[in-house]
Amino acid sequence: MTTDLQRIGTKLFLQDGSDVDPAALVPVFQRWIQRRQLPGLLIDVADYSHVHHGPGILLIGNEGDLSLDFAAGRPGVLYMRKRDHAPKLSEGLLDCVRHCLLATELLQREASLPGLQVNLRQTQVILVDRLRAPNTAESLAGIRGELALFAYRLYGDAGMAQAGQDPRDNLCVDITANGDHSLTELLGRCAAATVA
Amino acid sequence: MSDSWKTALQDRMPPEMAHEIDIFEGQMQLRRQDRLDEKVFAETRLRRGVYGQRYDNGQRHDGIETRPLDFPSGELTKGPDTMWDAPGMQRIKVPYGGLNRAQMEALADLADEYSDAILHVTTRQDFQLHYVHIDDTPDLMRRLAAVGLTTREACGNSVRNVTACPLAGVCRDQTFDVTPYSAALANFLLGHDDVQDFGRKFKVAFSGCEHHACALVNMHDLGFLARTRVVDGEMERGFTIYVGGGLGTVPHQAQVLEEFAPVDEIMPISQAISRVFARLGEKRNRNRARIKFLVAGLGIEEFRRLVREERAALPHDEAWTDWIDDVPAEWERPLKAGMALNGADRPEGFDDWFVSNVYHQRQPGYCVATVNLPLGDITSWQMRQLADIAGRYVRDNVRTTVEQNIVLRWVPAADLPALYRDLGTVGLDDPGAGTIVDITACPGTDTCKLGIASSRGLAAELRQRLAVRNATMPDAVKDLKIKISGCFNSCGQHHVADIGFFGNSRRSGNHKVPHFQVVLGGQWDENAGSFGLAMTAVPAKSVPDVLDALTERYVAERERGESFQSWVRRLGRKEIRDMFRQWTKLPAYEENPDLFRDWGDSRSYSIGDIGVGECAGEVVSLFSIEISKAESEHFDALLALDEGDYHQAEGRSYQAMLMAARALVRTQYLDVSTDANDIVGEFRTRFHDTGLFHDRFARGKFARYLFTRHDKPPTMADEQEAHRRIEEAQLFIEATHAAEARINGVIVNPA
Repeated sequence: MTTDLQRIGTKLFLQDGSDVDPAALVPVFQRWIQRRQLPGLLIDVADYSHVHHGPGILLIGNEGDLSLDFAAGRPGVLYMRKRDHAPKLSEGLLDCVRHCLLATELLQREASLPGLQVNLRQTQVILVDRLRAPNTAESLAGIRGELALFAYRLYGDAGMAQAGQDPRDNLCVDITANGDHSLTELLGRCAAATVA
Repeated sequence: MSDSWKTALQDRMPPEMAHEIDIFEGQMQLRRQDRLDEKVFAETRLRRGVYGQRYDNGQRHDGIETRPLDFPSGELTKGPDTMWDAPGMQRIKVPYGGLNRAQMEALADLADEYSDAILHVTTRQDFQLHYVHIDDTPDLMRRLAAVGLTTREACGNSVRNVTACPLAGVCRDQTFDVTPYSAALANFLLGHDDVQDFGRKFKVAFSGCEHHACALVNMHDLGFLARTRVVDGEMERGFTIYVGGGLGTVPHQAQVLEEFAPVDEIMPISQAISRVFARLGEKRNRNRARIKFLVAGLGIEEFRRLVREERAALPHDEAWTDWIDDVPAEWERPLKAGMALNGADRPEGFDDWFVSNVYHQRQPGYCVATVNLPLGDITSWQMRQLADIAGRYVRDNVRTTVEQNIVLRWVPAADLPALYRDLGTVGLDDPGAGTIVDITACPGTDTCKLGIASSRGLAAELRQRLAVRNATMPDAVKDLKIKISGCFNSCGQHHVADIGFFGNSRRSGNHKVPHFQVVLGGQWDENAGSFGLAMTAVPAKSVPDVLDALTERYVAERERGESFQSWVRRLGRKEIRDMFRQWTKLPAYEENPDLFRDWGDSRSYSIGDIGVGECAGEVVSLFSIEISKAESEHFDALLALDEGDYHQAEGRSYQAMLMAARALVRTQYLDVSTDANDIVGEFRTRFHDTGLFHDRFARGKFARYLFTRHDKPPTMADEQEAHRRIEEAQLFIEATHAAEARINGVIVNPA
């Protein structure tokens, strides 16, 4: 399957006990826009910290949105690609992870976010397209090969599991590495998948 | 599996809706090929609810400088100064706020796939999605059409969402259920030939009773208030029809067009009004194009005569009445039998929620439960869960409200504790609905192109602070309404709140400071019975302190049973202004840099693209001194209004405009005399005719307030005219501030 899906994303969850004040992200993201610290066209910051288990703080971009996301009560660094997808799903997902990792690297250097720790052993894949990829076993079967390729290229040895069964939800798959990987190592693995 | 929503949904969309969406998609294609004029496409797009959003002109001030946003579509635009690829807002109409579960789930899906997983309830019971790409809008519309929702005429010069009281049908005080009539009129007017040639938008509302806020008919272009009368021993349903109300920059109270119109007349009369408005309403100057200006200009008697004449000439249309026999005795049916709240265990927090969020229906054993949405926002996940919860308790009896909440109707009272628990599991159990913590706010600078200050940022801050104190707050304070607009256009309905705020800005030295004008004494009840008046502008960051001072003093000094409006009147404008004085003196930037940032925004404050060029201002410029005199004169006008001296109030307002104009003229021509003709002449030549006074959106609107008054002074001003002149003077002064900053004021933004 090519990535003709509406949106594809990846999310790196924060470590359990990681303590981050969402409001502290607003000035950070504003500064990233000023200094163009992430790839792509960065447009604006949206603050949804007032809603329960919501999208948190978003750095709105043209190609994709980067956020500290609180969906399902599991905070994490999320990159959601909106357009200009890579030809193959596995490549598109690697590009999404690359954005998450770049953001994580920057966030962990922020003095205002001392409690932020990211779990690099697990990546959640999120496919947002109820026409072409509804949250069903059939959809998952259709993309399993691309997901496996993505998991292999990112982690090497890894397992995957569908994250939720409600057919109304986005199709989410947790990819879990069987071993530890550093951020630098993971960034290196993603490097080949850069999307122009 | 279908490869497009168009084919997947072809059997589920009404054919005419599917066809309209195809046409719109074709127009998009023409625009991409530059075969459709951008202005024409802009209005086309707006009439499909596809709206612009902040920064869509391709530039953004990032706190240091204004930088281009290099969208990949290059020079392709979707309207003047509106880049094709720029994220936009999609408005979705929800007539009378009525939703079913399939619609709720569809809305959630659209928020996930095309927006940012957030659904925003508006002050017209619509939904808005933000950061939507125009290329996604045809499919978005198809998916709505498949569940009976439309975006058609949600924006643009058209009939906007028809609103109705969210308690219609279950209200204890209603005359009758207005729901079927609001639904029928919304359907009749949608796409009607006679509503396609308006110079401006047109808002319609239905109220079931007179004395509650209900649907706020007094502030609508066209309002219907349910009435009955007895004819030949038979009870007849009808409506008092109001026309010509509106908020906007200068609010107008609606006037009674017909004391009683039977239900079979609401469509032909609406059609006749539409024809008169289309024929005689202003078209060229959009700032005078709302029907309120036409009604005010003609006078209600002449307007009524024209409408009756038009009504008499209308060719008969079966659609006027063919729906009436289908109006059911009960619009909704409950899912479960009504049952009183018994002695069942009440979860922690339930009692507070019960007091503020539950309304006892006219039908025994049933309640309306309000889901209090922070800033009107609900996530896509929450919306799906809420649809499930609705399925367990009320089926499809769900409505949005103009206070940006969602209500579940026909909840058996005995189910309330279980409902509260279920809402709690998805984070929708906030208490305080309809109280001071339930703040209404328009999008403001978050996403609106016209926003001057962060209405949502301020609302979030106030909500957070007030929620902590909610349990211990005196009832007199708890029951107050706060409404916030990001600019003078009143989308947050600040005119009809006890305490309203609208965004503006001031200057301190070479820096801009976000401000909010404090508007006190508006009335939410009595269908928005009266409008508040601006007191003074305070820095955005000082608003929480201002609010504390105001409410604490109200609690301390109010007499037994005294309403906030009465207390404000008794205290008087001068006293209130004195109370606020400590916050109106602006420090230098270095003394308090935080004051120079808006709520929820770490950037140094800026409006639009000002911020280029060199520093030209003094710390206290001549302009600052002279404009302060104009503000003082304006304040005296307010005092005169309080004292009932309407003629003086009107005259002083005009003087205030003259003084503000002179302050601006003297930045270029120091020797201008104090003669009114000289001032107006110089102002016209130097600032109006050159366009220097114009801002990008209001253009010369505020200058015309001065010219019109100068050319046609009233012989004797009544209260309404004095009130209006005061509002105009306020806006003129604000515009003068903005123009001076734009022209001379080179705003420095510290790194």
